[in-house]
Amino acid sequence: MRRQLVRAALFLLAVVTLDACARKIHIKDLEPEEIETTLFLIGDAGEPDPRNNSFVLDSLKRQAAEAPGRAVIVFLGDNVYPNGVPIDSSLTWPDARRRLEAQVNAVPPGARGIFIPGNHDWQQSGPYGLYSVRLQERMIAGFAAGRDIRMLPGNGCPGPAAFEVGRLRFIALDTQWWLHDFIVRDAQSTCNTTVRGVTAALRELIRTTADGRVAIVAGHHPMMTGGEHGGYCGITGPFRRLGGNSQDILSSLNRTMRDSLESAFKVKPPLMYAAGHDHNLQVMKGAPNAQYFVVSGAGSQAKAACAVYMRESYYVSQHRTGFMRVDILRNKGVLLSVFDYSGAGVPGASFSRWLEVR
Amino acid sequence: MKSVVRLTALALVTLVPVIASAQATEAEIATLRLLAVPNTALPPLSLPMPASRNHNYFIGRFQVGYRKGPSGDRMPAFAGGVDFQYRGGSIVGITGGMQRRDCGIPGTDCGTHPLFGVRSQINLTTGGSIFAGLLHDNSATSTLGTEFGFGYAPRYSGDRNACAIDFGVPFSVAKRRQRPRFVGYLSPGIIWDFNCGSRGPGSTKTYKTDFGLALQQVGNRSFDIYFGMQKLFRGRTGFQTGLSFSYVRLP
Repeated sequence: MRRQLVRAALFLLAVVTLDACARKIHIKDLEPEEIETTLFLIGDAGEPDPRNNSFVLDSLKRQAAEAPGRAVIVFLGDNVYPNGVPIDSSLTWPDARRRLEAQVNAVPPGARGIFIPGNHDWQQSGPYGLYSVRLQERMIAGFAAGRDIRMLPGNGCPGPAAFEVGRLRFIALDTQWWLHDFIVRDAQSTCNTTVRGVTAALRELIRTTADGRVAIVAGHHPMMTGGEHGGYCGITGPFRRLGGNSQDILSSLNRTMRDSLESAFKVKPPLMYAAGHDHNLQVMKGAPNAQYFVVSGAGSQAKAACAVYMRESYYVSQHRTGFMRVDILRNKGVLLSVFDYSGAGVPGASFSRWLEVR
Repeated sequence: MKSVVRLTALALVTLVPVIASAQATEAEIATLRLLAVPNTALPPLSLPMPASRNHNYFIGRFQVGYRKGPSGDRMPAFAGGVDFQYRGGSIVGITGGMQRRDCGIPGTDCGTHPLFGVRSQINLTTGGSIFAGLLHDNSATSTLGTEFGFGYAPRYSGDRNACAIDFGVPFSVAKRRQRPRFVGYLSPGIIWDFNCGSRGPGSTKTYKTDFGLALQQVGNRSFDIYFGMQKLFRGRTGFQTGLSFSYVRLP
């Protein structure tokens, strides 16, 4: 018995020693002149505190304002909780306006702002969803007042909608379009509105990304997640699959969407697929269909939630707000940094990783 | 003739106890049966590390266990197995291996016997909120589940075959923001052992506690090492200790 206890103690000692010797998280620093484009990823920010300024949005704005000319801020959906933007005669319209305005104001002058729609923006997957998304697009344009801040894809279209800045080719998708149970097109829709057409267009955009360019695809729904929508967290976790909620990874409709997107990614796996939806921060191995999957859905303090560290995870932060920053260097190199904030708002970069080694 | 009968009776009265003392008792045989199956011969494992629900995974496993038999003799065992992890959560697996018999009990065989098993661990809930605060690590993950195991060990002593079924309630906590992840695990449970198509003592029930420490994702994303121990709440069974190594095939 004593010998066995000694063995156990030795094993524990080895574990502790290994921990001490193991790699620590080093936050990498860059010289500002090396950076060509900085992409900020923040999701599910549609529930800002009505009493206080959001320290996440404040911090994001400060970082983007250091070099606004090269900053692109992407809001990864669920920009207005709980039901998107209603018609302007609705009692909830002023509050929807407040929620959106707080985010538009986080885009400093000179920076580009992109709003991707999420399921809550589609009237929480409701029948008025398509029109709610269009109302939000108009509201954003009103706040932007001529600045480069817009909804992408626009007009309730599924995308893909792409733009290029330096080495970056950014491709935006409206993934709720795939999962919505109500009207997703009407006479005003002037875009691809079939699954086959959308998938083919995405495939073509990814295939034609020139060597040396960095392809980043973004949509609201994750391709992989260790959060609530991935069937983790809470006693309902493993049983959520029985519910058939299309917002969850385990549902068949969600799987159909992911299969279609992955079939498009296969031709030339993009560097990253970025999403929100789950209210935490996750960096995951995305192989074989994308190099990295990230979830950055921790834009609202009131929503911050659980996440599980999975075998595919590089980094997980739960119950904290935060955002991600992707610095694309001029010639070679892409650095991802994660900033998370404790309840008291203590800021800090908590993780960084070279997605493309310089 | 009468004297022959008397002599025979006398011989039986004097010799039978001697013969009996050279045989294992029922209790010893029952203990040997309990210790012969993979449920007790091999070290316990934690619930599997959660993985993405996007895929199913195959896991290869090698285990080495050690414990002392009722006579104090060593009973090392080794086994290999394959597990199937469904959608990154629950697993079902098969195991095959060998165990050295307890040679110290009179009348029992030496050498080794094979052992086979089937085990399922059902992941009921995986989260981390409570333990993230307790461990000051907001990447901490805890998992609660249930496990069922069936073990079979042919010819564990003479021509006797052992079977056992066990049930446990495993709980594990993993922490550390980066690889390797540290895991502590505990699984209280119960095990029933019985004869499988052979004679032997009646079936028995024993409470148990499995526990251990593990390092997940050592060196690479797929490789895990477990140091497991088992305490059976039954006399002369001691502690079981052992190491397990597993490798997950990732897509």
